[in-house]
Amino acid sequence: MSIPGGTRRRAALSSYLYLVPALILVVGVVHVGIVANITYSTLDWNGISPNGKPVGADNYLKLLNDPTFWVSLRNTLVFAAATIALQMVFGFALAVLVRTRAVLRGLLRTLAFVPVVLAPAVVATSFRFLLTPDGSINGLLSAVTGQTIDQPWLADPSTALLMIVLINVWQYTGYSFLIYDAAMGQIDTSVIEATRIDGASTWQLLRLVVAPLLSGSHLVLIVLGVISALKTFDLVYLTTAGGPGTTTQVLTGYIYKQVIDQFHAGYGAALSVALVAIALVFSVLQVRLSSREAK
Amino acid sequence: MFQHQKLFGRAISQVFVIIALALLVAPLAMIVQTSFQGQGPENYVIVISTTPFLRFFLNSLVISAVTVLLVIICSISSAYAIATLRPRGSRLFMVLILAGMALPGIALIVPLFYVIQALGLLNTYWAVIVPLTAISIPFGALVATNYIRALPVELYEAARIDGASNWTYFVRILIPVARPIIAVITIFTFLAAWNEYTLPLIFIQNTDLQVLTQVPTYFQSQRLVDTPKIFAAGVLISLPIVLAYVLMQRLFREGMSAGAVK
Repeated sequence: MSIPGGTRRRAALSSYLYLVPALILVVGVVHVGIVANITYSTLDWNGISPNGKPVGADNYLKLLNDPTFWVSLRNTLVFAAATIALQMVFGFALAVLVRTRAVLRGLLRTLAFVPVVLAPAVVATSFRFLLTPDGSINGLLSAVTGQTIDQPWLADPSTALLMIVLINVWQYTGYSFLIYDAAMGQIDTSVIEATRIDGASTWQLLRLVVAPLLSGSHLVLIVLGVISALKTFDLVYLTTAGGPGTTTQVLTGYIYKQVIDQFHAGYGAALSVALVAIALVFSVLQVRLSSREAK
Repeated sequence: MFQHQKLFGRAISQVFVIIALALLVAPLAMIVQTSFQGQGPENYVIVISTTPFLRFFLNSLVISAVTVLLVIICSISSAYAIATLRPRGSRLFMVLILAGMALPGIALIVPLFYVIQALGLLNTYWAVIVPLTAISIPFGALVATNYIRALPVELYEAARIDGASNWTYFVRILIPVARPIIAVITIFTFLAAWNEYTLPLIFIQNTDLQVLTQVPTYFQSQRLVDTPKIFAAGVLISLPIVLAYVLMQRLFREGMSAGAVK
């Protein structure tokens, strides 16, 4: 009777082998990286010399008193809130529009998603030049209004962050649209018919029936929106590089600046630990949501 | 769903459709138009002939293909263990893998830089492939696990009763059955790899190994900015992926919404 037991045991052991490739890469890069970050964050270190000088919690005290850290955190949160809200509203509107009888709605469905597949680096670089004082966007605005418009959209502290938000909204509204489009396709049409027969207006139908039915999609878009806002780097780096001053700096950009431009690897590691802590909360939320949807 | 509209409602929705199309198309049209300014179509020839464009194209392709392959292998096999084989502790392993889900790659640059330098991988494809694969696996493993969990249990049990080993089941049955989710993982990983900008920027200083997203920088220096060529480069970089999207719209939509909606 020992043979079946032995086979089972071997089978169980071999089951672990299927986990090995993923674990080596994820643990080796992500987990070891996070632990290493915590270690480095206690050093005064330039990232190049073999050893740093241990400074205990100094980097974290510096972080708490660093106005640029707080500005970057604030900008990241403002960027997240603004892009999520606008992309949800516009994405929802597009999902409704492709369900009307309007002409060209098929083209809209195809085109809405084109910006989503473009490289953020290409989109950011393009808008950087479209938004210069003598760029194409001012050219178009001048032609439409009949006045000379030479607003330096990205160089003016009062419009720079708004522009970065709007570029992101232009690129990723198609994603929110996609999620809403898929969810709306699953709504039982008899619910809509019944509401219509009861005499509801389109606005009432959207607000009181359709929007509440899509609560799962709203939640998913909020969580994914925060995650992608935390990851945003190319867009800011290639349009304003955080400027003018620090008015558009975000956490990823500030880490890059500290580590790569200024060789403050120890301090950059402390900033990274702060960013990882925020990201972990949203990893948990994302996994919870996705597993719940799957059930 | 909203097709029973009165005339007024139809007019309003038509206006909104036109406005939405205009807002979507205007920046794209401006980019294409500007890319032909100055020397006209010659701009495109110059982008391809005066930069290592074809070399970068090849580098992007190699990095993306290897990353996609590794992510698929790691995601499907770990999902198989977690969803079907379920050895003791697999829940913990799943948590370990999924923890990296929301992690911004930039948050790892300090340790990555140190490790990549220590391993002698700086200025190699691996300096981009390894971190990119590691941060792409969690999402791949998540959608693959959800997919395999939704398969009927009998599929595995019947194969085992017929004498198939875990490995035979994995290769002969699960991988063919999981083709739709493999397509999904391929699309979102390829898109992320093809569009990646930061990792090559930091870890590849050798111009022979750079990738496509770096081409526009060839036409912007402190002294000279050649906007039409920057835009021509942008169009050339985007063309393959936009074409792929237009040809495989359904697959792209499913791929990009996986993990968000079921």
